[in-house]
Amino acid sequence: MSMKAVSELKPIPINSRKTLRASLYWKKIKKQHVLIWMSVPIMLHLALFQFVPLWGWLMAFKDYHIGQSLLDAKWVGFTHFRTLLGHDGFLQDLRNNIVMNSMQLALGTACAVALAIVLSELRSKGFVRIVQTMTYLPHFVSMVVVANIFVMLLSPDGGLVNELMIKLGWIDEGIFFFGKATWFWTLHTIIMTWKGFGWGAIIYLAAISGIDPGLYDAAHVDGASRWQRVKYIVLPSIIPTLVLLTILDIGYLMTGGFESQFLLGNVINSEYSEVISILALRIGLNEGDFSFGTAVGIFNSVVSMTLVLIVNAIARRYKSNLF
Amino acid sequence: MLLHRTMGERIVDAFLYVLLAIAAISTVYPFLYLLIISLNETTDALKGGLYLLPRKFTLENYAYVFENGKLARAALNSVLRTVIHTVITVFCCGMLAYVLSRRDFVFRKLFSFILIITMYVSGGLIPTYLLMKNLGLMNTFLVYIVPGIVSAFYVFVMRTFFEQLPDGLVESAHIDGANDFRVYTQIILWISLPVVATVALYAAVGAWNSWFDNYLYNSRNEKLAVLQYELQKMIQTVETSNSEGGDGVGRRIISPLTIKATLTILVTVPILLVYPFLQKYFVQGMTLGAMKD
Repeated sequence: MSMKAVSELKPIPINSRKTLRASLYWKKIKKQHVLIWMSVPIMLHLALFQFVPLWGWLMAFKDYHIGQSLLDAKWVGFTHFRTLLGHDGFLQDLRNNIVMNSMQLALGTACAVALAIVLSELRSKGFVRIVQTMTYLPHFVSMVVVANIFVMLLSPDGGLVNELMIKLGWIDEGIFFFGKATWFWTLHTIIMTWKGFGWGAIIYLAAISGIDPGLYDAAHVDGASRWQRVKYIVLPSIIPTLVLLTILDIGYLMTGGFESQFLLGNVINSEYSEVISILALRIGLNEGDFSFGTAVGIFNSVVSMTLVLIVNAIARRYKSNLF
Repeated sequence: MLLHRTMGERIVDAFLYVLLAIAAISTVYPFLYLLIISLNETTDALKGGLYLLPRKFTLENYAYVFENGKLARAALNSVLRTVIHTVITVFCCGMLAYVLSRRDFVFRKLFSFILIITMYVSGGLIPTYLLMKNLGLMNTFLVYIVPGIVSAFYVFVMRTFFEQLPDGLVESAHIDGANDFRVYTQIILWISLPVVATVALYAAVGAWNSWFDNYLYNSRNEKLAVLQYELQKMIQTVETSNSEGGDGVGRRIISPLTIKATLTILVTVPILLVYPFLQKYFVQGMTLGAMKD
C-alpha cells in the first residue's frame, strides 16, 4: 500500500465520528425542542435588555449627540475619561461614595452584630421574637418611605425631633438637619443603619445558633462569666461570617449607593450627598451630555465589577464552600 | 445552661431588655407617629404635639387620597404593576429554572453561564435609557413590566429547589405523555410552592417599592404614575405651606404634612399585610443560603 492510501484511510473514522456527534447533537436538540422553546425566548429577552445596552458603551468613546446615529459620531478615544478624572464633581462624588459606604458598613455591621449577640443572650424567646419582628420592618419598606419619614421627623418646622428639643429647652428654634451639608454623612449613616440593622442581625443569629451547646456547658463547668462566654465563644463563632460579609461589601465601597443619597439629598447638601451614580444621571440625562454620562457609568461598572470579582475570589478562598 | 444567676447578671439582663426595647420602639415609632398624624385633623396636626394618639380623630385624610383622582390612579397603577410583574416574573423565571434543572438539556451550561454574566455586567443608566427610548417603551405601562421579567437571582433560587425534586417525577410524567411545558405548569409549579412563594414575595415587594423607572421613563405621563413616585415627589416639599387645593375635590383643606403621612402609611400597609409571610420565607431563604455548607 502506498503512503497516500494510508493517509486517505485515516481521516474517515474521525470524520464519521464528528458527523456522528453532530447528528447526535441535532437529535438531542430535536428531542428537546420543547425545552428549547421554553428557554430561548427568555434568553433572547435577557440578551436584549442586558447585553444590547453594552453597545451604548461606544458613546463614551465618541462625541455623541441625541438624534445622531451612534456609528456616525466622531471618535474621541479616551477624552471623556480624561475629563472625568480631572472633573471636580467626580472626585468629590467619589469621596462621598467611599466615605458614606465605609461609615455605613462600619456602623451597620456593629449594630447588627450587637443586636444578634444581645438577642441570643436573652432567655425570653417571646420577647426576642417581638423585637426581631419589629426591627426587620424598615428593611421591607421602600427607601422613598424611609426618606420621607426622616425628612418629616427632622423637619425644621414642626418635625418631631426639633419639637421635642425645643420643648426640652435645648434649642430655641428648629434646626434644618438636611440643610447642614457636613451633617449629611452622619445622618445618612444613621438612617441606613436604622433601615438595615434588624435584618442584618439574622445572619449573625444563625451563626450563633450553630454553636455547639457543649461549648457553653464546658465554659460553665470552667466557671466562665457571661462576658467571658460572649468573648471566647460567641464572638469567635461570628467572626468567619463577619469577615466574609465585610469582604463582600468592600466590592461596593467605591461605587455603591444611589437611591438613598438621591432621595435624602438636596441642593444645599449636594456637595456631601452626591455620589457617582447621581452624577451620571445629572450630567448624562439632565444636562444631555450622553457621552460623558456614559463614561461615568462605565467607570462605575468597571470599577465595581473588578472589585466584586477580586473580592469574590478572596471570599471564595476564605470560605470555599459558600459559592 | 446556667440555672441560677447572680444579682449582677440580673442587672445586666434588665439593662439588655431595656436596651432592646428602646431599639425596637425606635424602629417602629416613626411609623406610628405618621399613622397618628394621618388620623388627625389636618390643621390641628400642624400645631404639633401629637405623640401617642390623634387629638382630633378623622379619616378625612384617607378620604382625600382616595377621592383625589391622581392619587387613586397611582394606587391602581401600583397594584397593577405589582400583580402583573409578580405573575409574569415567577412564571418565566420558573420556566427557565425548570429547563436549566434538566440535567441533560443541551444548552444547560451555556445558558447558565450567560445568566451568571448578567449578574455582573450592566450597561449602565444612559445606554439602558436610550434602549427603552428606541424600543418605544417610554411613557408606557409596559416599561414597568417588560424589562424586569428575568432575574438571574430568582432563576438560580428556583433551579436549586427544582434540582432537589425526585427525578422520577418528571420521568413518569414524560412516560404518561406529558411534554416538558405541561410538566412545568401542571406539576412542578404546584409542588414547589415554598420556593414559588419566596420568589413571588421578593418580586412583589420589589415591584411595589420601585419608583425610579417611573421617574426615569414615565415622568411625562401623569396617568402612569405609581404611589411611590407620588410620594417621592413630595419628600422635599415644605410641610407648613398650607392647603393644597386638590383637583377640585370638595372644599377639603389638607396640608402636605398630612398627605405625606397618609400616603406613607398607605404605601406601608401592603407590606405589613404580607409581613408574616415575608418573615417566614425571607428569613428561611436567607439563613438557608448562609448555612449551606
